[in-house]
Amino acid sequence: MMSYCYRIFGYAVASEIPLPCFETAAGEEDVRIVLGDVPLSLDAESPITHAFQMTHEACIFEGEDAGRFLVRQGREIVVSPQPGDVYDDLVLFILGAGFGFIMLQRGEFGIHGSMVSIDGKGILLVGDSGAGKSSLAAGVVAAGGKVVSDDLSRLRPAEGRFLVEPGFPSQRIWRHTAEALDISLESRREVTQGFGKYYIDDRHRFMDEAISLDAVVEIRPGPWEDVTIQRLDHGGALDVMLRNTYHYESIRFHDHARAHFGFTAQVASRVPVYGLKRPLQGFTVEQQLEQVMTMLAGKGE
Amino acid sequence: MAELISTTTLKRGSILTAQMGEELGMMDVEAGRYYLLDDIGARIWELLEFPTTMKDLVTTLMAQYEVPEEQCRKDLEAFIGAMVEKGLVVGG
Repeated sequence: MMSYCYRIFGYAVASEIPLPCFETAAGEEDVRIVLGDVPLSLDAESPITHAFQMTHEACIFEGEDAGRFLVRQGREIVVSPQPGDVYDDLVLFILGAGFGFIMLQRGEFGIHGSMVSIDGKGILLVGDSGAGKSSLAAGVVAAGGKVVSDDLSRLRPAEGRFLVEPGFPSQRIWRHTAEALDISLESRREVTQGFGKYYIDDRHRFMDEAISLDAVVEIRPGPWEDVTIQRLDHGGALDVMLRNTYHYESIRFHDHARAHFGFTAQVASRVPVYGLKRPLQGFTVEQQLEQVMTMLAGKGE
Repeated sequence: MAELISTTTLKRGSILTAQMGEELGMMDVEAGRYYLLDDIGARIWELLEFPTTMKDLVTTLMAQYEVPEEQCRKDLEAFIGAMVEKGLVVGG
């Protein structure tokens, strides 16, 4: 029974499981989330890659210490939870990989990155795990901005520009980032398996509307002395967009490779893409934000 | 050199292209590789749709881009060589 209705990544979602997402009135349904059995394997001969089984319209994956998931036809996520206290991890997998595969199956565009809004600019922060996306996003909020999505973002074309849909009002932030930005961790839940991250879900930090994509910034930690930012040419921009596409390796198993590549190339040629180098040591979020905002105001290089 | 060059028939079908300003983004889905061709590279790619010869390519490019023959041939050979290596072009 679908007791819970949400708007997640621009989709109307009906769910049997309560989720920490933006609630909406019952009505349309683009995606449903149900509890149920997940078969051990897909019927067709499906390629197995990493921990997934995948065809162009269905995917089975296992969430470690949480349960098993079946995503099908871009419309349904079936969740088979493991026994035990697995709720937080179930949510992580549903809202991460689950919706990532929904987007792939629907031929829509998921990017692994945090979307933020500040001073009227919509900025997508991308980078490898540990690059500092969530820290810089938290820095944006500390400077008066808002988070549109934390880890996975959905891009779509609209009237000559690109929109990014809101995800859900929750961020995962490192303890040291929270401390540096004066975010109290009292009574915050820790992300399981002791990664040292905490859930921060104060509503006022999040936007619940889609916003225009004005810039993409790839965070590049390295043995640099200072924080520097540089606009990338078309080749560099295309490279950033493709590398950070949600589950890039899986595009080839879906029917939408051509449309996906065309869309990615469009974004890379119309939206400015930047490489932001940050030193490995120290907390440089404020300098990073300053470099980004200066560049976007046109005063930079 | 009369040897014919063209893009491989199989590959052409599985190569995705997208215009990016004057440049051409290209993805070889099967190999999982992507490239960006500048405006001249994009023009050569276009000319390779049907089998042709190095001589004809040089003639066409010289006319279009006003570049000396020696330079044109040299650059073209390097470009075609790289495309052959990547399995995007046969012959040459």
